[in-house]
Amino acid sequence: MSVTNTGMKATNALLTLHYDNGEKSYEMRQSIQPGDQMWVNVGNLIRNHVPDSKGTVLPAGASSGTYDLRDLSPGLGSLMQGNLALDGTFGFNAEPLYANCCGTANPVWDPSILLFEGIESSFDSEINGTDQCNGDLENISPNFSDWWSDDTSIATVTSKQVTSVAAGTTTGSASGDIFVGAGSYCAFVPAQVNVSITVRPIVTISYNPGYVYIGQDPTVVQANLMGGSGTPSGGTFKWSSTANGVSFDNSAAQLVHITATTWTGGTNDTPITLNYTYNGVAATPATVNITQRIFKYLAGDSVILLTRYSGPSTYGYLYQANYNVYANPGDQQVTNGSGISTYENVTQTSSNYPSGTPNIGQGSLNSNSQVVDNPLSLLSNSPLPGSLSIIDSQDLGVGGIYVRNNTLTWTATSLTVTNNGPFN
Amino acid sequence: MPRISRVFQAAVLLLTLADAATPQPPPAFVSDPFQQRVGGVELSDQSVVDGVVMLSHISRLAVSVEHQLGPTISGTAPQPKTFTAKVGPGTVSEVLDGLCALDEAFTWARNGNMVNVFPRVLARDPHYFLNRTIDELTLTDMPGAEEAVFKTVEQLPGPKEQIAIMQVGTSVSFASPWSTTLQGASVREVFDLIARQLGPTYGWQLTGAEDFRLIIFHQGLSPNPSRSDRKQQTSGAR
Repeated sequence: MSVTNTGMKATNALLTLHYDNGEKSYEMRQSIQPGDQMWVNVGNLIRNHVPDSKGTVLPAGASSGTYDLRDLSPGLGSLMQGNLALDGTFGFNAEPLYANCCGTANPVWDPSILLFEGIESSFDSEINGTDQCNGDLENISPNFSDWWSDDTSIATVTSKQVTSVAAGTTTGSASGDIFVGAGSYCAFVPAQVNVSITVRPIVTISYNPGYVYIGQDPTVVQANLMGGSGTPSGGTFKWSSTANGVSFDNSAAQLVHITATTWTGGTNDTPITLNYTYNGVAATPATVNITQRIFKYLAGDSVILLTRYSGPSTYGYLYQANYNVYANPGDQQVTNGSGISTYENVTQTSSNYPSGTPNIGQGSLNSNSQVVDNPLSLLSNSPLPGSLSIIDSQDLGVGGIYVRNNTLTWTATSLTVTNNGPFN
Repeated sequence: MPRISRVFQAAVLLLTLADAATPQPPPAFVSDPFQQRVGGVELSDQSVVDGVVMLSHISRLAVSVEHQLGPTISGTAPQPKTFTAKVGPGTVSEVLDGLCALDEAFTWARNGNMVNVFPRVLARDPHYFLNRTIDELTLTDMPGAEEAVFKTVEQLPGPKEQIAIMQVGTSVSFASPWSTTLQGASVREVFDLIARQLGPTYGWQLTGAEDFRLIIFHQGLSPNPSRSDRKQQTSGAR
């Protein structure tokens, strides 16, 4: 019998003889160059006791059986059988086990859509066809000799792989000859397969403290900063949130300041989404969940006497109070609040002087994010009377939100600051 | 209605000349703020001083208040009367007149963009501390209001006048050392200028008692809630 390689490349043939009613088999493997043939004289194999690759020897009494032929190389297969039915001339009579040929039709790319997240990544190129004998998918990429991309500035296509170059869309193609048919007739036919290639830009939320502070005070909004980055650069951003009361000063900017007005009380329950579009292609949106924090109370009080004046021209004292700011949920100390506005409202509560009109003061958190109450001073050009007792009620706020009430007790010799809360 | 004295007008002229080297920001108004019409103020068991404070918020005028002082800091201070009334609408001047007609214990005067409110009975008392004048006052390189106040009082003729300054939070340092020379200015007018030097919204309050006078500079004032509300606050939680 003979087997001919009708393809363009060398291939490996596996010829299997089945004898003893199909219970035993004898295998012959041989590499066949394009256009060459594999010749087999089964009678000689029997007579000369030639073992196969597994050591099996055809028995002397073997005179009939079946055979099948497989092309072990990837692709559609390129083996053509000749003298297929062996007769008793060579001492062995065999009939083919299967159809004479099995084509592989309906070529498709695998995967069928190439979607890249960003550039400089690759997919292995592979075209599969359907075996027309058994329905299996087989890699028939070797049957395609030409591979190309409609736009190599977006993606390159080779027989090895598809590689993204820049964000955008294009089409990848491959053409060649595929072996189609089944049974007694198979033939090569030209084929071209196309695949849609989309290279998406990448977007990330690159600056995310993980929280924003509640409030509409401009200094609070200024502190609520988030930032994104898109690759490649030059695309358009779009910030959004489905949370109530969350807005952005410029939702199309790369850096945004966030206003949050509806405190949820929860943790990581406020979604912030950043969309990015480049060259008409949208990136997979980036979403993070952040926490809305609210200024809640002051703690870590530090009330210190800076200067005491004992005359002769000035009498009295100068104090300074520093407070750390805490926010809820989680009693988080504010550490990035430099510049956030503070206010105080001081009302006299004692009855021995008539300053009944509350003073309003404004300031901002210092570089250590502390409320600094300075000066707390009582200075006179004559000695303070021993009976002096002035009691003030002082409200302090951060970012427009009330965070502390103090009682200030002024005497002839000192100032006492009593914390009335809130404490958490 | 009291008017600015001729002496004070001269003082303002001198101040303008003295300040020529330190340009002041242009006024934030294009017409006389005291002639702007406002909807008026509504008092709810509140004093006329509270009404003046409300009016200052509407008109963006600075306000300084001289409270009625008791004889001693260890005693009980006089409390202003409270009213439930609406005063206005009208011009700012008319509303101020209306408020001071409501409680004749107080009167008001205009000093630039500052409203001065003080006890009517003391308005023409030449011995009243804040009515006293200084023939020629020189302030040199004053770093802040405290120094300027003490230096002003120090230059009053006669026995030493007591004055104290209490500050809570509000800085009274000048943006840069301040120097000026004034002739014939009253202590009240000098304090107004010191407040203006701190900022356009700044004013001051005189409080304490006759035996311990206390001045407090402020960025702004807030009206007291009605007295009935204050009683509720006192008896209940915040």
